[in-house]
Amino acid sequence: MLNVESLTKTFQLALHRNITVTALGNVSFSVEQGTCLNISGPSGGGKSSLLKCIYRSYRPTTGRIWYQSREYGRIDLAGLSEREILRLRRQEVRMVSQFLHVIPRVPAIDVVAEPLLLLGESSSEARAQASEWLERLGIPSHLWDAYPQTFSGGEKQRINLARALITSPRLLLLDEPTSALDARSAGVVMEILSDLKDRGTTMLSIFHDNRLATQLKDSQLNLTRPEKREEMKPI
Amino acid sequence: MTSPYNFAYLDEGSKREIRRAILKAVAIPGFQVPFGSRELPIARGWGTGGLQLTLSLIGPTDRLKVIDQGHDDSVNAVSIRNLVVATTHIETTDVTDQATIIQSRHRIPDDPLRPGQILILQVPQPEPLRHVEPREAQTRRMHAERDYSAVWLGLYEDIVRFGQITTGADYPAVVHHRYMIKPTPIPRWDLPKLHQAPFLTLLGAGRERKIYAIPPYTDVEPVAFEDYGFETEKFLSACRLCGSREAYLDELWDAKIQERIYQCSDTAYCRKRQTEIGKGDI
Amino acid sequence: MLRVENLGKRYGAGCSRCERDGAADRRCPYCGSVWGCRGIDLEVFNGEILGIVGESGSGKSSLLRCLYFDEMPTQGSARLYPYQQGTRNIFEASSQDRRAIRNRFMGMVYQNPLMGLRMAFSSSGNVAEKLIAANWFHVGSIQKRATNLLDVMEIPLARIHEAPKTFSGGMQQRVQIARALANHPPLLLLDEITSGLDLSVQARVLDLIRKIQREWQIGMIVVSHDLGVIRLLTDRTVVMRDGHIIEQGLTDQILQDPQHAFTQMLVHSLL
Repeated sequence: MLNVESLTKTFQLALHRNITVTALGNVSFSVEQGTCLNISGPSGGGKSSLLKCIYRSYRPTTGRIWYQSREYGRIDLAGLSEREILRLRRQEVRMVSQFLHVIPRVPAIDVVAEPLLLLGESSSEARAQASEWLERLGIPSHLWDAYPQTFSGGEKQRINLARALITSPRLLLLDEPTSALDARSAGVVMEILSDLKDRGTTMLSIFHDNRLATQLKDSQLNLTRPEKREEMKPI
Repeated sequence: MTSPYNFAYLDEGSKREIRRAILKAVAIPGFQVPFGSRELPIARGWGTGGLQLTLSLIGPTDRLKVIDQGHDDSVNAVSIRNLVVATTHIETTDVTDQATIIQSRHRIPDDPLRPGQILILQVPQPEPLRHVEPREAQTRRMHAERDYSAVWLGLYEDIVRFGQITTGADYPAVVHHRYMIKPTPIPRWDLPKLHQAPFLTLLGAGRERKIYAIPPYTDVEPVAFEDYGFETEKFLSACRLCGSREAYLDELWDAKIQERIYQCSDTAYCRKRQTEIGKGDI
Repeated sequence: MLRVENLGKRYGAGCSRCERDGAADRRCPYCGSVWGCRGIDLEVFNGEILGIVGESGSGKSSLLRCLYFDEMPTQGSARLYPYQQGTRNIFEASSQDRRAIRNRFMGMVYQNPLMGLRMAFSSSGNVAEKLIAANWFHVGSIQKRATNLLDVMEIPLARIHEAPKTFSGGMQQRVQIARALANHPPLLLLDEITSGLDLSVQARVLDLIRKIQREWQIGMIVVSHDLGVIRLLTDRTVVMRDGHIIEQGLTDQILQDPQHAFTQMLVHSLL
């Protein structure tokens, strides 16, 4: 399903002096369909960078990311055009991050329903499905018409999850999806995720809590801090 | 007898230049042709455009009729007629049918004109787009691109606001399916007379330095929406003098009997009808 | 749907040197001409929102004005699929054709509502004008569509016969959007539409634009100096500086992994 071959990511920071920072050094692994690969490692080890490279929020410096897509067959995400990446993001690849960026003053239920509308679903159907997901994730119904910017961290995180899950993605990238949730809500989320995995969704996850990771993971990737972090002289 | 002036006041070169502009205007129906407007012994804005057309076209055998708002005897009409007569010594007439050239302001005679006659209209503002676009370069571009939506919009706003088109005079029309005109402040009543007319119509604006023309047998179509068509003014009463119901009527207030009264705006037409029905001159 | 190639706009006479030495300077040192934008290559896909970001004076609006024929570019081409299946450069079209393209295939929302609206006419008239320009000649249908559009843009129906000069800035901007959308154009150009609006009105306008894009599947170019607006609205972003494009990519990639030193500076200035 997903084959990563010697992926490297370096940043050229040119603000004061030219600095090259290596975030990922030569990472290779593969993930089977319907399984979950958990990524662990120290902070600064490049866990989020890896997910962002796959989602293409970061531009991979070298290496290949082979992905078996429904739409285009086997393709290299590292070299795919922006147009096709956008299509894949709409239809099969979703990322859940810790942050929620939405237009202010849009009700939560519409925020969750939006990805379905983009896929051409009618607004009544999209709203119906959105309320189902909000219900499953335990968002109280009196909050559905409120604005997510006023929500607590845990509620925002669940809105983010609902937005991703509503399109039943084939590849799900989870960057600490439960960091702000209490044990009970986290348990609900883990149940939903493993249910999704059983139905064929492939996942890459980062959990701050090892016990949660164990519930979901089928394999493990340990990232260490890349040793190269060199400074360059100004040109 | 020797006159200090050339025949028809203007020098021959000026007349020739104006006639050239007229030919161009006839060749491109409805198109606004710029011309070098001459100084005349009357002020600009008092019919100099029409007068220059008349002076450049008139010959010793022509017979001229001058009307102002339908009247042959108003001050303006009389002054213009006197000027032409003083410099040409041609004959004038009040009778529409006998004239070869008819110079008019704001009206087309209610008696039908015949082939060969020339109708000359005095125009204050020839540019139909001027009130929506003050820049000449822009209005030229708009004419070139047939960008007339702003004029339509004016009518649309009328309909939406008042339920009907309130533009009385200066109603926009399209000549020969191409150029839009607002044929001077003639009432809507007179607009259909220009459509497929057997006579030549020339319109001159002296202050604005423009001439345009509607050649004989040319389509002149008033601007109209599919669900709000063009309509002429309707009069509920007849002329109090000649009893006509087929002419454009002026509304007057009779202070003696405290009542609204109506009479023909075209005095020559009214007088002719009165003679026909044996009422004689007033 | 829109493909722009090597677009450039020069203000001034130009000379052989500034024709040739493309990338050198904004102002040609030999003849003093200034290039508003230069060497612009970009594409907009169906139903996609493309952001153009940059400082004031970076050539964003110059580019947009060229695309809407408010100015004619000095060089370059643009192909718009609905116009002759994209086989012809729209800048080589006749002036009548350009007018038709403007009226049917594009809508423009200016930063300054004075540019995009006829202040003396009513709001519904402002929308109607676009329809009339596209040969709608039935007052009933024009009125129905204009009312409908203004309603979508949340203009109170009681006020649609009032002139936009009596409206607030946010309402004027929404009337402008209704006017721009009148003929359901496949491409909408938006120039700094939220600057000058207070925050609550801003949010409403952004939500409306998002809704229009979703429901109508219209391609849009959003010009803004506000990275927050760009982040919320756009899928892809072009970064401009000194009249050139210095970077383009997915919006989240531009914000999280900016490549060019200037973009890094811009992103790190985000509040």
